[in-house]
Amino acid sequence: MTTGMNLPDETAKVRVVSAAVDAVMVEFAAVISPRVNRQVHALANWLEQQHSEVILELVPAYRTLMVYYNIALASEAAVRQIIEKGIEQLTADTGQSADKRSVIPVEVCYDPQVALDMDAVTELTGCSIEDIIRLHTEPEYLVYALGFAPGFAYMGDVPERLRIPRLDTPRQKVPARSVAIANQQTAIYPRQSPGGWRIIGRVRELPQLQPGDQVKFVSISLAEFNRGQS
Amino acid sequence: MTDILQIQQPGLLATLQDFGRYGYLAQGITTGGPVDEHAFLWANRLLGNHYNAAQIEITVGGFSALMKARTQLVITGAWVEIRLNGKAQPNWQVLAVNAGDRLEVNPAKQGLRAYLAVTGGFKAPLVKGSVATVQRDGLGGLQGTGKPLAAGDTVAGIALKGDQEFLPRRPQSRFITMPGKSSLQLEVVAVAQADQFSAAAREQFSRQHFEMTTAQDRMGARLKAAKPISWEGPQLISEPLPVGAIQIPPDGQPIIMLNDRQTLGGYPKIGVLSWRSRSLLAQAVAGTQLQFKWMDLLDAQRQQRSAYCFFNVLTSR
Repeated sequence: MTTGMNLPDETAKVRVVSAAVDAVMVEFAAVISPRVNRQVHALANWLEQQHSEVILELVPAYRTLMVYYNIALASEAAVRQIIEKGIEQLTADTGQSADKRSVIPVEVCYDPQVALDMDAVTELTGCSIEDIIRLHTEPEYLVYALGFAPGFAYMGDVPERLRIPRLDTPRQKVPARSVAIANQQTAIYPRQSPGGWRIIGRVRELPQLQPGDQVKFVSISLAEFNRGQS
Repeated sequence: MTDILQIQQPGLLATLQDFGRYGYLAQGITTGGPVDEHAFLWANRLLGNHYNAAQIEITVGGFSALMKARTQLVITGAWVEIRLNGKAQPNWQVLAVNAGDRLEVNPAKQGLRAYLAVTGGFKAPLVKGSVATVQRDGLGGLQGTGKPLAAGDTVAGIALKGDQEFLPRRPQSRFITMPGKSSLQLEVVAVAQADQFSAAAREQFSRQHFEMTTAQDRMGARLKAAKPISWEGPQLISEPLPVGAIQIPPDGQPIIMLNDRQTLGGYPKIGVLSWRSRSLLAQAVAGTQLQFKWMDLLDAQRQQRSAYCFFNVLTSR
C-alpha cells in the first residue's frame, strides 16, 4: 500500500472522548485486532514525535489511546486539535507493516490445584479440562498492551469456546504467576494482586514480554511444575 | 543531606510520597503519590517547598518519631492529634522542632490520611523519577522497593539554614476542610462511558446514598448502596484507567480508583471525581455516607487548573 492514503474503514470510527478532568481517550474500532492495535501505536508514535509541551503522557491499549495533558498550561480543545491532526496523518499502511517476531513458548500448569477457577470454567464453557487445555494452548497469542500492573501483558485472541466473562466480584488476592482468561483476553499475573479474571493455570517462570510479542502456551504436568519450583 | 527523623512507630501505614511517578503508565507502572493532593500541596506550600517535595503519608495515626535535626514541619490532612514532647500542637500549622524532640501523631479524630512535611522535603533514591511508595509495584520508598516506613527507619532531608526565619504559617481557615464528616457530597464529571449508562442508572447513581466500606486501600475504594447500578452495555475491552474513575463492576457496587490503581481496567466507568472531591474522598473512613452530584466538565477543569496554578503544579519544568 502507498502512504498518504485515506484511513481504512475502521479508522472512520475514530472518536475522541473526554476520559478524565485532564485526559482524553482516542477510541478506535471496538474490536481486538492486530490491525486496530497498530493504529493505536502509530498515533501514539506520531504524538510522541511532536514533543508537545502540553501532552504529559500517552497510554496505549488494545483499541484506545489515553492522552494526559497539562491542565495548568492547556485546554482540552487545544489537545483535541493536536490529536485530530495526528489522526489525519495516520496512513493506510499502519495495518500492513509486517512485524512478525519469533514465538515465545511459555510453560503453564493447568492442574486444578493451581487453576483456581477450573471448575467454574468447565461449567461455564461446557468443556472438559482437557478441552480447555487444548483450546488455550492452540493459538499464537499477540501481546496487545502492557498494563494493569508492571509487566502485565494483555494477550489475545482466546478461542471462541473459551470466552467467558470476568468474575462478578474481583478477587482480593490472585496468586503471582496465575494464568487467567476474560472474554477474548488472556494474561499472566506477574505479582500477587487483586483481579477479576478467571484463573486456569500458573506459569513456572514469568516471561518478560513486550507489546507485539507472539506467545504460545505449552501445557506441563503438576509434577513438572513442582520440579521447577524447588 | 542530613538525618531528619527516626521512625519509632509507623502506625497502620506510613509511606514516603512525592507528587507521583509520572510517565510510566504505558509500562503498567502506576503513579502513586498523595491520595489527598489538596492537603499534600498545602503542606509543601506552607513550608515554601517545591510542590513535588516528598512527605510522609500517615494512615489513621499511631505514628511516632524522634527528630534528629532542627527543622520546621507541618501536618495537614486528617484531623490527627499532634504532640511534641507530650505537648499538644495545632494541625495545619508550621511548627519549629529540634533534634531530640519526640513527635507523636495519634489516631485521627476525623479523617484518614495525614501528611507530615518538613522544610526542603524528605530525600530518598529516585526510582523512575520518583520516591513515591507503591507497594503493589514494589517501587519507591526509602530503599526503592515499595516498602512502607518501619520502626527504626531513618529518613533524611535537607539541613535547615541557620538564618531561616520561623513563621507559624497556616492557611486561612476557609481553605482547611474539616475531613471525615459522617456524610460527604462528591462532584462527579460524566466522562468515559457515562453516556452509555441508562438515564435510570445515572439517576439512581446521583440520588441514593452510598456507604464507604472497609474494602479500601491506596489502590481503590469500594462503595455499597441499597440499589446496585446497572450497566446494560457490552463488556468493555480493557482500557487506560484514570485516578478518580468510578468503575461499575457487574455486581453494581461502585469502585473508585485511587493513586495506586491498576493502569488499565475493563469495567465501565460512570464518571470521574473532580480534583477537589478526590481529596475529600481520601479522608472518608468506612461507614461515611457519600452522595454524588454531577459537575460540568468545564467547571471541573477550571477547578483543577486554578488549584494547579495556585500550588505551582506543572506550571514550570
